[in-house]
Amino acid sequence: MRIGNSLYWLFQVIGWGSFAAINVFFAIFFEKMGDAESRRLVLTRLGIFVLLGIVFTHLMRAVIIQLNTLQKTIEKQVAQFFFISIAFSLITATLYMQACESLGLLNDGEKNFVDRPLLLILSGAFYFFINIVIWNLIYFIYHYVTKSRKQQLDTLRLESLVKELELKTIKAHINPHFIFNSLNSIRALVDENPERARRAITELSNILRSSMQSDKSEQAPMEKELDIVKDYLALENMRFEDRLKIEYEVDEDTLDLPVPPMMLQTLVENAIKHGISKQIKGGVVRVISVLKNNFHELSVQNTGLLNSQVNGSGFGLSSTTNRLNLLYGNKAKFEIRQATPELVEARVLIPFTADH
Amino acid sequence: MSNGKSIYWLFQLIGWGSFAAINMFFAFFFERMADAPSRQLAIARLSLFILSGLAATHLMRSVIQRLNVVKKSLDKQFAYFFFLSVVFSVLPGTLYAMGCLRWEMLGEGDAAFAGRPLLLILRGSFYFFLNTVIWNLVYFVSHFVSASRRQQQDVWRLEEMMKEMTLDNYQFQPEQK
Repeated sequence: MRIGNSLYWLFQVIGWGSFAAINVFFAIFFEKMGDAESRRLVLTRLGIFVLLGIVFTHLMRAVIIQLNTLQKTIEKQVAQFFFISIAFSLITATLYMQACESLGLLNDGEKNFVDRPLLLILSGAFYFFINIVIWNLIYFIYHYVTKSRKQQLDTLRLESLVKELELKTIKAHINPHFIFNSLNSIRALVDENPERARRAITELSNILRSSMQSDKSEQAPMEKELDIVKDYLALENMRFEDRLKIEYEVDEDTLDLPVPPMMLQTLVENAIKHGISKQIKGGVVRVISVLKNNFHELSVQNTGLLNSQVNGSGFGLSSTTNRLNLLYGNKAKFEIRQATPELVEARVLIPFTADH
Repeated sequence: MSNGKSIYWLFQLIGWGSFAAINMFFAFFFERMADAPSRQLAIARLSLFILSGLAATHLMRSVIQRLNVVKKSLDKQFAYFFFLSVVFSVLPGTLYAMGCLRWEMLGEGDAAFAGRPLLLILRGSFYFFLNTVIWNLVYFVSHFVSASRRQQQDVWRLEEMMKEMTLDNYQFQPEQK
């Protein structure tokens, strides 16, 4: 027997069993089972009532399944539920009263109205109706709860898919943004130093290959990201020559830590484009990766002023905030600030987990 | 009056109104309203029952809202639902039985048990329990249906977002070999 069916029969037994127990309880205390004859009368009537109740609610369930009531609109469900309840109350009460009459089980009150069977049926139908309505409401609630749980799972599944797609969309935005800026850098080198331009193209292709591979995962090891940044800065160093100084302060323990792919590159790119390139004398770009208070702190410092950097930040910085929010919620932090009068710092704090 | 409140009072009116109408119908056809005293007795008992039921279910609704039952986990909702149904059946059951005893409105069968008020209270509570359970089930069904509709809208919204983003991805994706 399937779990759904076992549960259904458990509900039937508990429901009709409780109904029988309560009726027997009141029959005993209201002295309706004083002698053997009245005991036989009460128990037989109750037995027929409960038996008919079980049989006809089971039949009603088959009708509900056959009519596919649960798949209909809520208005149609309510209407069908109401009509089915009335129909089955009348059918069950008709059989109950006929059985009581033919077996001589009518009580004193009912015997006075034996010539008006319709009235007796209606009265019986009312009692069955109360029980059938409760039965139907429980049945509908059970199915609504099951449906609601399935819907909750669907919502979670979709939320996760949306999150995944949001990440992919962000990555898809980064690629053309990055390609555009790199190609501009290489264009400047073509006339100036064709040999270096060729090498630069090779480095760019290395970066693009890494970027394409990173599309497959939400996070990448810090070491791999650092390699991309080194390639990128080597590329930019050719353009800026003495105007660009590059410094790294990388804690070796952070090399295995996962970070969002291409995020560090975006920050470095921002530091060059909006910081160094605006300084006549150039300046320094410092990449820092350290562990601090259970956070992986990633900083990119550059010579420059904050205003020009933030106003012209465009998609790169806003996408960094979005990506961190999507991956770590409010546990990760991102800020860009004027660290010293000459230095602008873009700082990311990623929660550090012990398993990494 | 807000739309939700109007619907609530409409349901209360339809529910207890139908209950009163059906009881009057049977009292009339089963000749329990044949003369003036029996008519008065039937109407007074029914009125007391309905007033107690209406007050108890209204009070129960404010308790459900105060305890924020419909926002709890499903298991807790069922436990609260059962516990509240019992409490708010015993309460009007007591009121009804004591009222019938106090104003001498006991029915034919009940009069013999006037000396055992607990039994009368228990039986009254059982009748109220059937009505309270139906009331509670309808109340919970209406909330489940609203919640289910909201959830369905969420699913549609997410599906729409997903389609939009898939399109965005096609637009921005560079060709890869």
